[in-house]
Amino acid sequence: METTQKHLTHLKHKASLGPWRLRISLADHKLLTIGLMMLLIMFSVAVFAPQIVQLDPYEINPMDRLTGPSAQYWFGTDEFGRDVFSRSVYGARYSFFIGMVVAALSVIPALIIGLLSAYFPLLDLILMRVMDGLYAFPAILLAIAIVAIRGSSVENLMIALVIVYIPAVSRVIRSAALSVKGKSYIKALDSQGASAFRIIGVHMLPNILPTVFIQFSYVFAQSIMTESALSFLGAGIPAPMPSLGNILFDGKAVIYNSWWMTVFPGLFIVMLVIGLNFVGDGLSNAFNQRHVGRVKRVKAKKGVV
Amino acid sequence: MARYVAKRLLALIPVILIVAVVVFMLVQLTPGDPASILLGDEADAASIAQLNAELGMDLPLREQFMNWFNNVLKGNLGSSIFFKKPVTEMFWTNFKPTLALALYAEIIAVVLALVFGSLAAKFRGTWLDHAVNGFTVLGISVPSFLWALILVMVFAVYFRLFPSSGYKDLSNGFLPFMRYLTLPAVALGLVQSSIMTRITRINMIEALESPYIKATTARGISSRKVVFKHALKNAFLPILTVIGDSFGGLITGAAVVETVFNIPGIGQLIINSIERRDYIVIQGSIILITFIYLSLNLVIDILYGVVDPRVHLESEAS
Repeated sequence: METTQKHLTHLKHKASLGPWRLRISLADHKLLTIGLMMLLIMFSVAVFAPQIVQLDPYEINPMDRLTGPSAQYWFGTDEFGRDVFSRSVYGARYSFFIGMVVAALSVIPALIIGLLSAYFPLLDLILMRVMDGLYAFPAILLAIAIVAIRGSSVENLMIALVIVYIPAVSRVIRSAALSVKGKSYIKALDSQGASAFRIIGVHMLPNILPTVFIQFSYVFAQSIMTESALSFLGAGIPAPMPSLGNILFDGKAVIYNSWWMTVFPGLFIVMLVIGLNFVGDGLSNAFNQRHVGRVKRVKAKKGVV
Repeated sequence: MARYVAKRLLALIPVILIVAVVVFMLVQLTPGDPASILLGDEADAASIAQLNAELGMDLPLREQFMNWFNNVLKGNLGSSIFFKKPVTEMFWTNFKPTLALALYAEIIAVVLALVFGSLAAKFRGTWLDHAVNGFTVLGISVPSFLWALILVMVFAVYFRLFPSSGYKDLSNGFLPFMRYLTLPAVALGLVQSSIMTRITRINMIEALESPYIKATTARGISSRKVVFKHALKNAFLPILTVIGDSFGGLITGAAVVETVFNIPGIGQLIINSIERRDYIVIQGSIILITFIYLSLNLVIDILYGVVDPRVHLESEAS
């Protein structure tokens, strides 16, 4: 009797924890929400750039060079009298677009490489050696070399970034796929005679999708950082085109008087990257995939950005 | 142990081969052949063909690669198109400031990470933990060149404590050398330390929960001693890997930060070579940095095996 009583209070206690638990899990998703909100702001800036911007980002006004923020020039003007606000907005638009395309173009091949090498050991041996070789390069330097040698243009920049990110993402996807492959239901399917492509496509792929989404957001963030670093170094988006990196580079020369050329584009980069990192961290919390972690390269190796 | 080292060395061979092929292909991708770049626009076809023959550019691709790779293995990376100086000589002159910057940044990063990571683990769930977490998020999300610009604005432009750019060699005295190197090193160190802080925190939490730490606490040892002496020592192994890993990243990161501060290092060498279209220097610098990075990782891996025998025992068993 006494034990039943105890059991009941215990149950009651558990039930009263119900809504509390929900709140905890909402707190866990706070990251995701904040990240998505920041991302939504930057996404609107990127998509509606032509509608937001009142002044031509290329228009030179020598009379108004290096003027501070005002009603006419929200973010001030640069050394040619160009409007920093419209240049930053267009810069964010290019960054966003490049980051998204690079993330998609590197995650898809990495997904194929990761799945195939997790399933076929012989292929694994070859593919992973190639990936190790590419991974051995410091990311930014490899990208600089590719852009420097092929000439700076948006396409070459994207090619360089894709080559740089495929190996890192493939490794992460491969290890996620390997852990799925070890599960007994995959072994069961195998012993029932399911074909390799059926196992990979129908059973392994859906189980590693969380990893794929998380990696997508990290690569998205990383390529925005690397792109801005490359543009800053003059090996990214070619000069008259606005990019956050090259506004910052021009701002460096006049940093003693014209703080607005550093603060505003810098803020745009931080908003973009933090938003994406929050989404990535939020997703991995939600999927409880902490161990998968961010692409190692990211450590700014590379980072060194 | 010897078997472990041999295995690690063998695994390096395919990686080096692939690195070599990629670097070789980079120059093959160059629009226009190197000879016409060397001779300029008004060279005639005959002299271009002659130079191509001299450079071995008329050979089949496979033979060209073998010749080039042979030279690389002998340490001959060719000469700069612009300066006519050997690439290796130019590289090592420029490597000193980069190495100094990377080392200084590594020290800053490790100190920050060990202190912040341990404190966050000790005071898990408090405002201190959240503050440290906020710091690591910012550290990871702000590119190092942007940190550099922010630090210049605050400490060089506003407070006028440090110079905004430039480099003084160690021969000018230790103090000026440090004065010029501090802002770049902090910019670089912040990014690295945020990754290390996360790892330190996770490992410290694990260590602090283990029975021997509880036993130490029970014996009445002060909590500062428990955290920094007993727990940190045991949490240090995984942190060591991250430190080793980060060093390659620091050298490339240094190349980017150098440009902000006009430090005459590898970064400047590469960026200036892009403007001069000096592909041989770009190619040589990339391959040298990659080799340095690979050998560093090898040394760290072996050291790791020495410090913690479980590592190579496990890999031999598998």
